[in-house]
Amino acid sequence: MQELKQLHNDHTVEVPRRVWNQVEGRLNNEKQKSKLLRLKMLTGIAACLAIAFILSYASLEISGASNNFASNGNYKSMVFEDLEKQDAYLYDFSQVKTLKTALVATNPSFAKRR
Amino acid sequence: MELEKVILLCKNQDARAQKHLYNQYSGLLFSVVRRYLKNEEDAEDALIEAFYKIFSKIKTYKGQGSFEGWMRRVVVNECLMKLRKKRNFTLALEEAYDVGEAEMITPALAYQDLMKVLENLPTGYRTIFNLYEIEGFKHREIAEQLGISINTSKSQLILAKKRIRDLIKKKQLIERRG
Repeated sequence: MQELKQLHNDHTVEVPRRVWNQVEGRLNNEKQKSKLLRLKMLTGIAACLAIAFILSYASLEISGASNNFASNGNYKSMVFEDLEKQDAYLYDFSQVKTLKTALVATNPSFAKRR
Repeated sequence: MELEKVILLCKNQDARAQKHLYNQYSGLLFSVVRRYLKNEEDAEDALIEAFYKIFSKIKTYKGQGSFEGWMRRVVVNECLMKLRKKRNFTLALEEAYDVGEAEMITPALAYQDLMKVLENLPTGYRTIFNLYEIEGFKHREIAEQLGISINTSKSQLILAKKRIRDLIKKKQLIERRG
C-alpha cells in the first residue's frame, strides 16, 4: 500500500493551458475589483469631507459671524457701544448727583462718607 | 527560486511568483483532482477554484507543516465540495461490518491502470479510498468531512478494496486471454 501511495503522490499529470488562463483571469478580476473598491472608498471619503466643509462654512454665514469680528477695532466698538446704551445713566452726572442727594436726605451719614 | 521566497511573494500577490508556484505544483495537484473527479471538465473547474483559493488564502498559511500538504488539503476540500454539489455523492449504505484488516492490493500496476481501476469505482468508494489510503486521513476525519459514521467509512473502504481487487483480477484475466 505504501508503494501505491508513493506512486500516486509522485505522479504529475499534464494540465491544459486554459486552466492557468482561467486562474490568472480570476486573480486579475479580483485585483481590479479591490482597486475599484478602494477608489470608491476614497471618493466617498473625499465627498464626505467636502460636504462637511461646505456645511460648516454655510452655518458660520447663517449665524451671522459677520464683519463685527473682522477686526479688533470693530469688536471693541460694538461691545462698548452696547455697554454705553445699556448703562447710560451711570455716565450721566446730573442723575448721579440727584441720586446722591436723595441718599443723603434719607441717611445723613452718607454725606460724611468719602 | 526558493519555496519560502515564492510563498512570501505570493502573499504580496506577485504575479510572477504565482505563475512559478502554479508551474511547479499544478501537475501534481491535477493528479490529485483526477483521482476524485472522473469528469475532465469538473476536474479542471476544481483545479481552477483550488488554485484561486490557494492564492487568495495563502496569507493564512503560517509556515506550520508542509506547504504541499496545505495545498493538497485545499484541493481535496475543493473536490469534496464539487462532489457534494453534484449530488452524486451517494454512498452505498451497506451495513458496517468488521472483517479485520483488509487484504493488500498488489501495487504492481502502472499509474494509468490504477487510474482506470479507480475510475471504475463508485464515487463513494473512490472518495473514501482516496482519503484514507492516499491522503492518509483517519476514519474519524473522513466521517466528519463527509457527514457519515466511522463504521460506514470503514465498511466503505473494505468494499472499495474488494472491488479494486476484483477489477484487477478481471483485468489480469482479460490480459491473459488476449
